[in-house]
Amino acid sequence: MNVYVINGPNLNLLGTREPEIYGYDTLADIEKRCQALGRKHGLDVAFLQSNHEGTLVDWIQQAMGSVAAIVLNAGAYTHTSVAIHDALRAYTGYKIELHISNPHLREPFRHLSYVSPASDAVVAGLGVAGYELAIGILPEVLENFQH
Amino acid sequence: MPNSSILILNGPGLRERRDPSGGPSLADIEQQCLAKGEQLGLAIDFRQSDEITELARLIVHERSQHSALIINPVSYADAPTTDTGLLVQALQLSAAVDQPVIEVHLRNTFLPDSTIKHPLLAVDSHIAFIAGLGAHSYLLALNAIQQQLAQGATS
Repeated sequence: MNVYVINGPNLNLLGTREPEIYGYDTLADIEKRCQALGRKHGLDVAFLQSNHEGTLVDWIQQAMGSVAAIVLNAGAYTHTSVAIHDALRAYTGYKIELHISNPHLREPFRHLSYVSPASDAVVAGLGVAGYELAIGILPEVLENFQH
Repeated sequence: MPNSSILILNGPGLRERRDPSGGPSLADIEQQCLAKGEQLGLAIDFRQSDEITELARLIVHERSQHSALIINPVSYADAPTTDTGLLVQALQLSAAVDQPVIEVHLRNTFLPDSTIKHPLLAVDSHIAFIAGLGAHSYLLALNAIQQQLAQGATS
């Protein structure tokens, strides 16, 4: 079963950018752990990152039909992108919105998410551990999921 | 033997809740949490109250006896009301207790048809948020807490 983990803008800086908020793990560290965990659960995890909104939209469109679930950390596009919202609504697989910190505890401009209303579930504030925790729960959640 | 205990608080209406889509009852969720707790070596204190004052009392008086708090505030996650204020105050009053806190909801509270419009626990603290996974919202929270407690113990 294929799973996309899609990361948005600035997540390539993980480990160096404001580590007191986002932690010291790099995105490559997280990718390695997610893919190992995926293999354990029979999930083929493609771990993607782009700073470009249109590329994120392309990946969500590509997932259609062949990818069972998307874990999406859209970064700051969460709060601005109607295009990502629309792409998610068109995608009929399972969608988890993920954030390393809890946006609702941060600046007011992070309180609105265009991703949340187009997702099945929201996981926020668990640090970088949230990625593995989300992937770890997917097999059971997908068992009961039908759109 | 479990060496950490987790307080799980459930808000108004959850005891009577019957999910028309065949989702789990609160008793089912409690059983799943107890099983997960056993697997992770965590003792589970699973409570429910329809009274916001009782939930606030439990937070203020019992939180410190536990290693972490999971709370499903249900409708009290709605826009600022006096009742919400009470829960937020209770969390702030007990904020000196340095422990993981995770707000959970069965459904995604941000879906257009959700009756719950705002997350409750937007207080100045490291509160995590999990919604939309059904009973798995609780189980994911327990997995996360077990990891955090294990890391805290080694660091």
